[in-house]
Amino acid sequence: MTVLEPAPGLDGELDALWRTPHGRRGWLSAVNHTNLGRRFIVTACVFFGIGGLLAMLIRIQLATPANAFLNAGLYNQIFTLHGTVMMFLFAIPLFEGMAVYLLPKILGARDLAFPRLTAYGYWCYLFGGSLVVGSLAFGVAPDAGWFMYTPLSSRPYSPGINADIWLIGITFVEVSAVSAAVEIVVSVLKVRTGGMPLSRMPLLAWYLLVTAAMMLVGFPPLILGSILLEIERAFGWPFFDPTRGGDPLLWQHLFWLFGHPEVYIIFLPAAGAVSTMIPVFARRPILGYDWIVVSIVALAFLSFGLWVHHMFAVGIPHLALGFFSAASMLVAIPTAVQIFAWIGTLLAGRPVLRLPMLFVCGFFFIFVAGGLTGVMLAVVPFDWQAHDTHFVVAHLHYVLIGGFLFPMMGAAYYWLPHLTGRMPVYNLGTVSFWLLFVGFNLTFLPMHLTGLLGMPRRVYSYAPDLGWDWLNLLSSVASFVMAMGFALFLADILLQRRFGERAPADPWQAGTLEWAMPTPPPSYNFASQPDLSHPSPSEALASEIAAGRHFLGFARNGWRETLAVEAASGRPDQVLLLPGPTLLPLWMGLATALFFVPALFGLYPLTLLGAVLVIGLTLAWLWSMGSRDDPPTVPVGRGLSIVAAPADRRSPLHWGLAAALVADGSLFAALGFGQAFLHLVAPNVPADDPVPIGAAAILAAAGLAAAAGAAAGSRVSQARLGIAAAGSALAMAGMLLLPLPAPTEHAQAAAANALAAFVALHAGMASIAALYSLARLRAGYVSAVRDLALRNTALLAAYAAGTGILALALIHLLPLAVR
Amino acid sequence: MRRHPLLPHGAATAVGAFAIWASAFTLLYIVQALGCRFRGAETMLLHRATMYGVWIVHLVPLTLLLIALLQSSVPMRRVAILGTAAALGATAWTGLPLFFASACQ
Repeated sequence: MTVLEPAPGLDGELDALWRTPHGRRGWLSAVNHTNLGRRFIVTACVFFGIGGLLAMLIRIQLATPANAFLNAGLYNQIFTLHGTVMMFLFAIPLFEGMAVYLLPKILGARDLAFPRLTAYGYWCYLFGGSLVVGSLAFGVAPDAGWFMYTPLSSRPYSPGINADIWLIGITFVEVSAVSAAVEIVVSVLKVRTGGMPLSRMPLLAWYLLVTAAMMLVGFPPLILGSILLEIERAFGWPFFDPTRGGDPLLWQHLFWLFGHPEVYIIFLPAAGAVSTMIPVFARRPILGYDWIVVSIVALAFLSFGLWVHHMFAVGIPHLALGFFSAASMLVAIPTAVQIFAWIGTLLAGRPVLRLPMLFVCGFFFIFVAGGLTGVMLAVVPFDWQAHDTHFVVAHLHYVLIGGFLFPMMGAAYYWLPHLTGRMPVYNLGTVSFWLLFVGFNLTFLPMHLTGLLGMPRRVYSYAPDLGWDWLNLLSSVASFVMAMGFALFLADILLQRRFGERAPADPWQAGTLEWAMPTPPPSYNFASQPDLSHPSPSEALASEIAAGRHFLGFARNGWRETLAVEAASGRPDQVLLLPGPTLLPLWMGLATALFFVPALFGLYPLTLLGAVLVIGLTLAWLWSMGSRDDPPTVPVGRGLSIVAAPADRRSPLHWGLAAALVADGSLFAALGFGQAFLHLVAPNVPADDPVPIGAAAILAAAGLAAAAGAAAGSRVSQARLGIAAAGSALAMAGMLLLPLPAPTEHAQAAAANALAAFVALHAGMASIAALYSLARLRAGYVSAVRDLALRNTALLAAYAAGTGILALALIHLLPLAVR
Repeated sequence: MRRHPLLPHGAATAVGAFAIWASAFTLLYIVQALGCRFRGAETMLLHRATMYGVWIVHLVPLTLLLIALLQSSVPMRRVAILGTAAALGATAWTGLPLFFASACQ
């Protein structure tokens, strides 16, 4: 048995730099990706257990007709929370945990680009998720379904705080998701080891990159919808109220703009795991690497053209139905390309059926079946018959459990020796698989039939003479078989951790980078970061890495160093100096909680205090970075010397801001869509005449133009920063003074006020950024080669100006054009 | 084969090609909605003609891009070609309902 051991002395030196301190304070201040990845995974599994228990309660209730086990109100809370937990608190965070844990390891890096952001994301997830799930204990859990359709979720029909908990809690959790997406995108593009171009990146990294990019674009429409609905509930702005010009369909559009890509956001990481495992167990490289990369990109785009297929039954012109139906059928092709690539790899190789592969086989069967019923539902006339029935429940569980859970359980067995350093001891995993496979199919296959027989979703009870009885009983009994499968899986993991034999190096003979390190992994991952520009046989490579013969095989100056590269070529272009353990992310998470939680109870002064604290802590966080000296050029090994921590456009921080602005732009586009929808499509009661363009609008436009102009010339200059700050402040004042109609009068007025608030907020952010940069300039953190703060301020000001001018057009010109 | 000076990395090209598909899809949906909001009996033909125009305006650059890629070299060339061909096929397929579905009913 080969066990990789780092060079004597090097392990201790690197571990002293990278390890997370012991004790409570160490736990709270951890920023190391291995710790945080494990933490995400464990927390997601706890939420999965809670969601699973809720599913059991649902199945007990539906086992027999006219069952009195649960009342209607409690049933509503339980099925709403089941869907919410599984989608938002389990599937996405589990993917995040997998990405946080694995990404640096498969990319040959020592950590992610922004370790503190990972920690902040974890705290937001934990606090937000606990808020949502904890509400059940107080009997105020959300109860309007996991997609919270209006008007059911509007104040008149959901008067308690149940819906507010969903809207605020899920938005809180989404902060975590967007943070993780920024982290993953920047890390894949920039924080790789030397000599790994995009063309030779592991497929899993492609999957994670594209998934994270989809999150940046897909999640903001839901965040926006949640904010608008919460504002409607709290302050009476009638975005979705048809009596005042709003439209419930706007909510459906915003929700499904997020909701359909979400399905692929869940599926793609699992497909990435499959693409990693199959070549290992087929004993040959995967077929069609390029085809798979194209399929991932195609899926990412096409999945954003499907959202209306969740709304086929609401009354949409045939041509629009045709566009969305065509896209819905089209999306099957890139999925099929991947499946054929996997099958082809298995056929061309010498496959061995180890436990992870058993779950992959289960995935093939179940996911393909779910995909086929998806194609059925993409056909409009069939969808009209099956809409909102248990057929859809069956379909979505086939897709999500087949497409996510089975491959992820396979992945768990595949990477558990990495996490624990132990091998499985008993054959419980095989028994667990068969219980799950049989239990799953007997639970959900009958739901296709009950759905076709007319059983609607979300009913808590049904009459005994409808022919649904035995099918429901079968589903319920089988669901307990499934539960036993999950229990065995958990037991197996605990036994493996406690009694398993020490795992050998690379136990599956995968030959991939994450196995070229000791298991469980050391805090620094690689004793030296692999130089992949001259690939050598994997076993020799692992030994060389362990001996510190590749990049950064040493410790110096107390720095946490990792390489960053040119995105496309993979040539090393800088050394990143990463931060160590700190409580700052925790404080930031608590401040964010202070922003969100009091809003549940209408305590808005406390919410405002939370916002002030978040801004203050953000500035403190940013201030702690950078240097008053120009970055040195340092040797990194292999005869190469590169710059350390450059504070210019090459910095991952610049990339991070760009990625965050993509997410923000998606939110703005969704808001603009809402404004246009309310003017053009919604069957509204008429609004008052549009407000003429006034002096305040001209003031705002002038300010935005000044900010944009200053941002365009981004050379180091206090005057330019001053103009950007003054212009942004002027724009903010103009937007705040804009004489708009009262937002409670009409939905169009509410949307115009929302747009104005968006612009004012961003103009304010640009002002603060400009003032911050001025302070950095005066404190000596900025020079001709350290202009990161100026570049980021310029980018933010230009963005605020661009969106501001578009928003002014939407507020003032759109109503005129419509008339 | 020479590196084309205007063509970016193959992965970026594939993303760009699908961005053109996204533009076609979005504009078709927008023009369909706007046309149904504003059209009268006399502008029905113009409405449909505009949608055909939008469709063709997106098919043309994708076709040209594909031809350019077949004649030049970029990093990850196969990804660029496959991605562009897929985006072209997707754009063509997405516009097919223009030939048989009623625009506003």
